[in-house]
Amino acid sequence: MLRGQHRSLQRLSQSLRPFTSSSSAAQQAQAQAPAEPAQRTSFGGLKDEDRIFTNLYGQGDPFIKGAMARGDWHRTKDLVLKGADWVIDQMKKSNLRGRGGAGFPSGLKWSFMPKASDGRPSYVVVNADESEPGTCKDREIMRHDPHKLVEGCLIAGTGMRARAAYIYIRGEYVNERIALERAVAEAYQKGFIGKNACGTGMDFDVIVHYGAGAYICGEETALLESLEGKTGKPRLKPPFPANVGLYGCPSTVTNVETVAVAPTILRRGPEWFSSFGRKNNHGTKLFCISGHVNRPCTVEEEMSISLKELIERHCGGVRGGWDNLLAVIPGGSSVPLLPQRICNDVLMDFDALKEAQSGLGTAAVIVMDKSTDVIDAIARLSYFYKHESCGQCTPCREGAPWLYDMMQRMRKGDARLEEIDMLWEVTKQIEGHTICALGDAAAWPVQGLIRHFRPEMEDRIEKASERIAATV
Amino acid sequence: MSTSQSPLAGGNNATNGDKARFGVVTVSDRASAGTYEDLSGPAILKFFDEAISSSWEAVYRIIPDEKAQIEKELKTLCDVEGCCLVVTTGGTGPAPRDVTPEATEAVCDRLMPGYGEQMRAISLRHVPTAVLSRQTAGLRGKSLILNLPGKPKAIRETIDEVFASIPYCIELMEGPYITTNEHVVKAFRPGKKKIRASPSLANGGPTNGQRLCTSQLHVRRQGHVLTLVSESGHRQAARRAANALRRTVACAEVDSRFLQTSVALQQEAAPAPSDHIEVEVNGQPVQILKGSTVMAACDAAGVDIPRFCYHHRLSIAGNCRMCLVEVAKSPKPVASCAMPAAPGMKIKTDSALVKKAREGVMEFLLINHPLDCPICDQGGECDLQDQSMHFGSDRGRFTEMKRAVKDKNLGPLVKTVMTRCIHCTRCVRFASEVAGVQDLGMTGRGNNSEIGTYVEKLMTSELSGNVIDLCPVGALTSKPAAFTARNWELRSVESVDTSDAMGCNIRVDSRGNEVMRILPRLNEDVNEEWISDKARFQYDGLKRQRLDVPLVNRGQGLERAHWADALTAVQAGLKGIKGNEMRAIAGKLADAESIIALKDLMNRLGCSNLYSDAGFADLDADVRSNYLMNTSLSGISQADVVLLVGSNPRTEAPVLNARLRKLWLEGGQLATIGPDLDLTYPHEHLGEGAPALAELLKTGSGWGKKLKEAKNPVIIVGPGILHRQDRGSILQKVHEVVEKTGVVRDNWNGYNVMHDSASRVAALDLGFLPSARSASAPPPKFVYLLGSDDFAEEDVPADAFVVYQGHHGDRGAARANVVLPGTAYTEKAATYVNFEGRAQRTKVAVPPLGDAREDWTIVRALSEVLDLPLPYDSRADVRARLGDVAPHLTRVGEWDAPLWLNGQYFKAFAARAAGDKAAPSQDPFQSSIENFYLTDVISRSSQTMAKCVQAREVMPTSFNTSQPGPAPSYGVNKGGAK
Repeated sequence: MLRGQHRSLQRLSQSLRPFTSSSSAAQQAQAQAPAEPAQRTSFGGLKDEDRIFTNLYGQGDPFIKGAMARGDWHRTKDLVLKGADWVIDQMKKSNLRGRGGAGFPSGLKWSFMPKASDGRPSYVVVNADESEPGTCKDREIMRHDPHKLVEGCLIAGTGMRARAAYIYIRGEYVNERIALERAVAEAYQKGFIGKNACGTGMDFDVIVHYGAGAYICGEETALLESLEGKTGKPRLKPPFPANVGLYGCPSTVTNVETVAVAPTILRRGPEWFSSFGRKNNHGTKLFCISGHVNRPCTVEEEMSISLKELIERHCGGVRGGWDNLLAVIPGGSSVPLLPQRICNDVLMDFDALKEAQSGLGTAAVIVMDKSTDVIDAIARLSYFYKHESCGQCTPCREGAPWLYDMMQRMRKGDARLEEIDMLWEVTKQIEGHTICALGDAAAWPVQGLIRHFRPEMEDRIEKASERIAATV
Repeated sequence: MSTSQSPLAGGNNATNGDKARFGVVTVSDRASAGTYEDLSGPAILKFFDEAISSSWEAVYRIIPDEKAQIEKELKTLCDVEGCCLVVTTGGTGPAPRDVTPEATEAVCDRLMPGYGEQMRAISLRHVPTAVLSRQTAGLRGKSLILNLPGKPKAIRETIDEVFASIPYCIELMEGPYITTNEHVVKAFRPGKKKIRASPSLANGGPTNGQRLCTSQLHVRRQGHVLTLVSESGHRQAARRAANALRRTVACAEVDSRFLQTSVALQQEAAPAPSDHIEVEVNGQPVQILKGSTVMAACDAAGVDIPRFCYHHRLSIAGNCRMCLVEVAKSPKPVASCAMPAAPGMKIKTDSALVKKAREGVMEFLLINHPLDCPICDQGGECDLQDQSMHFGSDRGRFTEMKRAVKDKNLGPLVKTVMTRCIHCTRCVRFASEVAGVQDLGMTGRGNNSEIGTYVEKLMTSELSGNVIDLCPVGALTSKPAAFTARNWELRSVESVDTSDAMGCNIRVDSRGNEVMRILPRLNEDVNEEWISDKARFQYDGLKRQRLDVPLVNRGQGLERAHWADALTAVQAGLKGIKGNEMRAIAGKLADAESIIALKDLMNRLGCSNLYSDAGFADLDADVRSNYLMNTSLSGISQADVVLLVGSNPRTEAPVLNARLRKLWLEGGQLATIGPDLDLTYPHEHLGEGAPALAELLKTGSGWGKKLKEAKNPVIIVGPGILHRQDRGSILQKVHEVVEKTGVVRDNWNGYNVMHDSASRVAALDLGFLPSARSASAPPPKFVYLLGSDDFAEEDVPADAFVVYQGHHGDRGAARANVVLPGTAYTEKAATYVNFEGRAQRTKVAVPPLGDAREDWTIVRALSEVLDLPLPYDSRADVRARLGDVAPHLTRVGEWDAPLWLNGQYFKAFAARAAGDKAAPSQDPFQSSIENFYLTDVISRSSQTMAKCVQAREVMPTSFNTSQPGPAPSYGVNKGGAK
């Protein structure tokens, strides 16, 4: 407790820094800071004082009192009054990349919003429809640190010149919704949001809306459709939401984590944030590690931490030791898996994983040890995508079930060897041909499987045919 | 035969356009025998060399004066060598061996005698013997054949002048673009617009002058290429038209005008370049309108893009993914239907990426498609079939279980085989956007998606049949036509619908002497591409209750008779009856030809008691603007404020209602006075009757103000008003509103009267109206019913001798003493005038039934028997007579704005009505149509229409009435899609 208090005091003093005019030396020191990580070759081991989410595990009070003690809502007015351009500029300097999966630079994305209104209001839409299998980062924010998100909404709203934020929360997240709604109510009560938010003269509302549990509603335009009360089916782009979004108004859909880290970035300075991680992959990140590890957890770590270190340091290692590792899905169910060979030294950031023909996605690390039937595991993911396809466009509607059917046979080895190639071709026929990225998401896990575990698949087919031959 | 000094090719290769090919034929016995050297041919070639600056080459022949040989050579040069211009020299004089003009005439399809005259005129300035020359010119296919004089000097004298018009002539024949050296001869092109911006030509694109965006469909017939211009979204329509053409080669009058499309017209109109952008399609630059999609760009470039979900009258769904194309700098293929084209965009439709994408999508579409084409009614006209042949792979790899989907019951019209559905959602979009009923939707998710009504219910639209046309596969087909015919067995005839007064353009498909189905035909000015369910499905009524032999009642009921007996019986019935004691009543389906014939006959009999069974005999028909839709159907689309007085367009003209709904979607405001109805779009209900009309005179507020301030206000008076006894005073009130609110203003006439029966406007146009004396006429002793089955009881006294001429045994025939069997609209070539005053013609799709005869011929035959022969013996004669009475009836398909006479006529009308002092009654206004499905003899005889009426009673029509039971009748259930 004492330690916690100390930490929060320390954070307070740090967060005051940008506003103290006399700390030019400190600013200079910070200005030099970004040069430093370029030489760094090892990452990870994020220090406690550098954590943004200090109540990730719910040890403290998630609500207003605890949040304010942790530094939330501290002089938010000053941040807001610095204006949209400053917020965008700081976000750009922080090199924050969207935490929802695609990793698009957040400052740039926010800057797409119109500078002057044509009569339509602008909206921030927070994507809290965290449905990617394996991902459980946003829920920790929402149930244990919801004020970070609510404050982030105001900050993001300032940057986007938005009138209101809509938080679209996954229907299954009941406790998270209750916590978030309470936090919003508290913020309203305190005058942090609503009319004259934080005394800035700016009106800003935050509305929590809950979904009904469809994976596709996590896709930004499907989310907007769902928010408008329609069937959650992705829209055609262009027009992009920044032009025509929610209710036809300029909107930006952004992930919970991206929004929630924004206030801290502004307080501690973009240089601090970009001091973590490799070039173009800066900052801290919530990693959710599940599967065959000794202690599955969600942990905030530095970007570009190596996968092995992440698992060893925070999860007590792979069940049965690192050598028992079979494969890892590094970024949620929709990215291709990586075999142990690659896992040994791969770094956990956008670019490194992309190089490894996978992706950071939501940083949901799914660990599979050698007891796993990897074909069955991917077949189960195919079932998920078949079930969650919205059915709007042809390749995904027809292709995802086909993939599932074939994977079911692959699981049993009930196939011909050349069907592996056909499976590959079918995934390629889906990938890139659909309205939204769900088609890609359905195709990639299967592609990863074929890429890295083709011998296992062939082996199973051969064994099955031998078995059949023996019985005949 | 040496031509060494004369070039056989020339011009600048760098110029635009294709290389022009010329044929030069010297016709001379002596030159061909080598007796002397031909000088004439080289003279012509020399002229070409000097005069033509664009690139050209020539084929040079010397042949003897043999007609057969000349013909053969000319044919070869035109048809095989592809010469756009063939000039002959020699053989045009009066000598016996001079046969060049004869040979020319023999090979030409069309003659161009002007050239001969011009050349003789030129030569006559030099020698008087020029008059002996018999030169001519003509067109063979896409070639111009020209006879020149024989002497080199004369050749040069004439061709120097004559050639000025030739480049343009060749261009008009879609030949190459020829430019000339102006100091030699200046090519004259009258007021040319910049069609030549066409890049496909400039860059060595399609030869033979395929015009921009016309390359999609060519129907080759007897050496003529009829080019159907097709717009992006009209592709299906154009294809169907082309199919129809192929099927009906016998059908001589092919009206391809309706396929002229906006894109093509826009191209020709050479609009300001500022609203155009240039994109590149497969390396060819093409100009398109700003804001167009990539698909539009491809269409403009004449590149065919496969598609299923895209339809130009519906919103863009982009879900079939069949139209994927490659766009430079985009890593993924893009859906061309939804992607806006940006300036300089490089689009590729022939790359391996695109081919693969199309093949992939095609494979996906087929894996769950049942492939039951042999038993599918769509087979043969199925987009999925066609496109899988074009773009698909030749084999499938799918070995899993196929999906099966339960069929839905949408009512008695639309048959569903939902397993065939490819989820393009065209039907859903049509229902919600055009028809305005929220009946269809997609339920379920992913592979379990199903198109349907969620809870089983009737599709409550009067336009529901159009989803059959829209469905690119066999998921939605016609229930009445199920398993009755394959489309390639059908013979198509373009005709006009008579089920309402809108005159929707239809295509009648028949096999043998049976109408198998009716489909809409594209006409942007009338019905766009929709028709009502009645127009589409009432055709089975044509097979029932038909009158096929003359019948005479000789005291023991109607008995079969011969024509002669029947006509004599009419003659006998007329005996001793004075003209004033006769009456003729025209029915709802009477055509203009029979109306004028009957009018002429009755007038000859001294009778002017001419009525329509729709009533309102006293409607003033002196000025057409008094009873027509003055704004025109396409004009109504520009309106912003619309007031409907006593009208339910949903039943009176459902296709017009769709137009009104479109108006609302585009921001128009609508209001009604009359019954409060669900019109499929929100509208204000101003009141039930005349008092609400009086309210509008206050132009300071409310709708009076709205009408006054509107840019294009429209008032539509429904047929319900015309049927009322107090129509005079109500119309006077309407006229007051028109005056006061300025509904008629400069370049805008917003006053419209709507009718409900196909014959009405023609009858009014032709003055088929009672004369002034008719009011005092005694009760008739002789009544001639021209297809009239809805006459008022008091109009046909019990003791009158009644002649019924018509095609269905209904009320009229039951009352008749003599029945003369006529023809229905599918069996005659007849003129109908729709409520905007547009004359249109039906065509003979099937032969008349039994002994039935075309209607005007019956009247003509009767006139002969009565010894009062009418002065016309052929259809052309009757039409000439129509033209005498009402000239616009011969301008088929055209619309002339009716004369408004500056409103003077209205003022007189108002004054007269004021003199009547008859106040309008307080009765609420009503629509004239009680039941949309049963309006005339054909629809009343149709079992399909009866099933529709029944379905409205037993099937749930809205989600509120989930229990089957008496639901509110057709289309008037309130509180539906508001």
